[in-house]
Amino acid sequence: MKFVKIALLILITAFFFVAADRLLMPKYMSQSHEGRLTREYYSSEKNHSVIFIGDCEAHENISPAELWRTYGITSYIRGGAQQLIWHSYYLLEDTLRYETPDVVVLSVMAMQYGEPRGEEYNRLNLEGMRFSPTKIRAVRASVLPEEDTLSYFLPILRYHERWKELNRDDFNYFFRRKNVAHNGYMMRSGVMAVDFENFIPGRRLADYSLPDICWEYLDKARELCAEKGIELVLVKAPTIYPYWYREWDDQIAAYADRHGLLYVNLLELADEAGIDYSIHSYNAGFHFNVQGAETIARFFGGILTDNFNLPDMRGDDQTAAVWERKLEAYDAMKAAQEREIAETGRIRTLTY
Amino acid sequence: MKKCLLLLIYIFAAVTFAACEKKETPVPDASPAPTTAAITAAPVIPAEDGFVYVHNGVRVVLGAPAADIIAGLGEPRSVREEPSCAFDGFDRTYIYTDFYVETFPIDDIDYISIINFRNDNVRTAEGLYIGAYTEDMTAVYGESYNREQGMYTYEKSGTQLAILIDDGVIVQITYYFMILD
Amino acid sequence: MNFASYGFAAFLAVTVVLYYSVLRRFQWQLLLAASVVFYAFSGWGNLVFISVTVVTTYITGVKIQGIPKTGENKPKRRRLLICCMVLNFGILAVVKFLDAAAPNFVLTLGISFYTFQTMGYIIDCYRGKEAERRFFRFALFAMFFPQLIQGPISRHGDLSATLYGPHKFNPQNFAEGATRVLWGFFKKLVIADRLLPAVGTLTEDPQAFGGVYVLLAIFLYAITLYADFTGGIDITIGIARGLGIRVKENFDMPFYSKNIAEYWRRWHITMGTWFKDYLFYPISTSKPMLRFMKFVKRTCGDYAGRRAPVYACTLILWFLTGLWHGMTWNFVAWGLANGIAIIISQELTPLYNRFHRRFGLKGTRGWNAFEVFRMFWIMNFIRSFDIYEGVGETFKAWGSIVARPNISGFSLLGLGPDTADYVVAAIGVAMMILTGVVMRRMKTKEIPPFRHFAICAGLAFVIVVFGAYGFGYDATSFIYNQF
Repeated sequence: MKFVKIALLILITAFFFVAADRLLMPKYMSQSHEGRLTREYYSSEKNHSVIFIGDCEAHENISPAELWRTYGITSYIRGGAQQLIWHSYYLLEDTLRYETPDVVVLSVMAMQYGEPRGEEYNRLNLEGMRFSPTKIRAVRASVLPEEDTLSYFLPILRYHERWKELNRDDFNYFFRRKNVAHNGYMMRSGVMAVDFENFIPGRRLADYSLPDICWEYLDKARELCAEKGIELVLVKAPTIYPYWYREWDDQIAAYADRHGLLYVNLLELADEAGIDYSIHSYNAGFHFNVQGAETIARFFGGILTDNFNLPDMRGDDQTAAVWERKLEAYDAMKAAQEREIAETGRIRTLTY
Repeated sequence: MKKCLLLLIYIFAAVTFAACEKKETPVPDASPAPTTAAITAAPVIPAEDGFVYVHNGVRVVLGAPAADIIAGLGEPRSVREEPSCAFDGFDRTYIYTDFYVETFPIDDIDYISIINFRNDNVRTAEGLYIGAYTEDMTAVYGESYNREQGMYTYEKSGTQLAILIDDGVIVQITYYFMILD
Repeated sequence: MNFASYGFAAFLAVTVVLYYSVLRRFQWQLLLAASVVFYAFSGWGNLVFISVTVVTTYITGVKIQGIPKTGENKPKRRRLLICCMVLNFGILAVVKFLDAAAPNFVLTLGISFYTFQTMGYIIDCYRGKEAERRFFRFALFAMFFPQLIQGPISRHGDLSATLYGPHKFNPQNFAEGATRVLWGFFKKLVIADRLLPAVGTLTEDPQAFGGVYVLLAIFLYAITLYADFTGGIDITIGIARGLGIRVKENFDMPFYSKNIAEYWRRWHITMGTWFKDYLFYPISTSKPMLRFMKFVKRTCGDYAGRRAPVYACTLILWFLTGLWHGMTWNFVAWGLANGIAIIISQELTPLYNRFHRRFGLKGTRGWNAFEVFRMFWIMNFIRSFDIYEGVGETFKAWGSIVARPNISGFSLLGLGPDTADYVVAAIGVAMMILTGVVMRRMKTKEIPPFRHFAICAGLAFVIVVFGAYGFGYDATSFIYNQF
């Protein structure tokens, strides 16, 4: 009887803690949707031929749905907001615990950031990782001196104070969350043309060398891919901003050359890719809208199929059935967003 | 005598040990971090005593609310909005013919963060301009700069004036507000 | 190592597990090792300080005991005592002075507490009590880690009864200890740390926050100081209890006191008794004081002659108590204010007695409530020397209550805590009061271990969710840590 009482006490206490933890964790359903990206991966099927990794240059600028539709390539984007190179490395390591793709495409924009950008970005990108030695390493490599490492594994220690700012989302999404991305791609519709007339190149720098720590993690990513027999491709999205210096590009190109990697600077291939900066961006050159992302996917998918022996999985019934459902949700959101843009000028459908 | 000596030794030991105190680095206050809302930093204090750019009588004070300053500078040629990753708010760039001004948002108010000269039509309040020489720079601002390759940075009251020199000639002049993280 | 840190939690967990795992005769050695580790975490230099005190006090105690207590040996015994006290109080004085004078100086952890504890011990040895002849057992008495941060100041005779064990694991002790520890963290993290920012805001700018805000500041400070200090003591007593060791209570619902003497019998009890036993009585019965009494009697009469030495001792005692808290004029003023309040209270006693004989209010509920209210606010005002920049600022703050009441724009918001903070703190205070009342009535009645663990589970949940800790809060250090 005593043991039953003790067991019951432990269970009830655990229940309250788990419930509080669930309630107080930010839901990322109405804002900062990027906070869901890392976690959403785990509910996907783990049979992707291509994994994209990077910051918003990865998760907003290429459409896995279009890669599937045009080439039958299965892909997933493990991207995040201000995802630093070391975040990307550990997310790659995490991904490879579940699957071994044929190709990993790493967006190189984040190679310029050698310093942590803030606690909030660490949390957005790492908190969603499942507990593993990789997550422990990722957190330890990323935390700021004033941060509390334990709270990445017991988030209630960080978010406990949110009891003061609980909102409808915290209760509506207590049990289940909606999806914010389509295989890691965050869809955005709308058009805001790039103003080339008032284009300003980036300010000149004293020193164009990319940070050592970024090279260190790029090396680790390359070695990890080599170890697993995965092709690593480096890519620069054709975004106009943030400014990508020629000097940085030269360093990446030299690195790719030195290690026999394919490096695709889509900025230089924008015309060939069919990118029209007057209609393919939703925020004047920072990110691409869904039409832009699909255009890039069609072009980049061609490069991938030309260079690598990627299977066309459209003939596989099981995979095709899964992607059929994905495309339904994708097309529905696209239609909804386009309707909202036409009617109100802003999009509201950001989840499904 | 022996006892006095002993007492003196004791006192000396006391003072010596007191002097050997190892300082412990105090843990700094952790600055507030956002939960899921936009980043809210400590209140922004305009750097009135820092480097101030003056254009047609308008004082462009780094760290000051941008609205009145931009209104005073007149209609820009273009306004570029850079979205904040994951959070609300935009960093804005107001592009004028001869310079541009960047702002950052806190709680729906934009503050001046950067001013950059685009050409030699404009000068700093102290008279420096793109195309001037290193000697002109040191004549105006002195030698107390930090130098990183060709970039010479002066600091004053929470602001920086960053002057890029290429082959003895000034090619870039930028004002920065040293925002607290 | 701060009580409210993961490091301390891990350290405590390991210590407790090892404590009950090792052979019982080695338990006290394990505690000593844990205490050394705990102290070393605050800095190896600090370990040197406490080691000097431990070694010199131990040697002196043994030497004193070795000299028979006869008239001719008295000077020799006294010299040993004085040397030991000069050295150790000298270290304390220098460290305190440096703390007051040098902004970057970091005070040696718990130096005031362990110095007083060991000096009390050596005075007891001088008075004839048995010295601890085993060095490491004495070291444990001096360094027992739960007490190092903020007391209580234990007597060797009291603590040694249970300190050295052996202790078999006792679920009742452990459960009581766990509840007490969590209760301490509740007071500290849910109440004190939640309201502290408001006290800081109110006292950093007394110009802006004069008038009624001064009353708010000293009221909130009373709550935060009480919650923080008693919270720390609860943690200390709870840890000791969990290890089977009894440590004396240090607080007995002081805000229910009706007069200042009663207040100081209930607040920081061990400090009060230390000063009384080792300072007040020796000074009041010393030859110079007797000579002073005779002088006053001769010049001012019997009444004055009887009172003057007592009052003089009171002022000396409170002056030194103020200095013990800090070598600044604020603490001197605080100490003297207490002393003066006690003297006034004594002098007004005959008047109060006449009043009560006339009106018969003594013992009535209303009068008791009035006395408690009055004493609460008198102590609040005296305590305000703690929180303002200087003595002058404190008096100006008091003056502003009348001169610039500042009532019209009064708001609790904008001081740091928001409405939710105040609500949580208020509920916490209510729980604190209720618990105090209930525990008074349940003094002799034991709560079974299972119920304790259920209370622990509830407290842990409340602390984790409603505690003011983590990124965005100041490092959780106890207010009395600096002493």
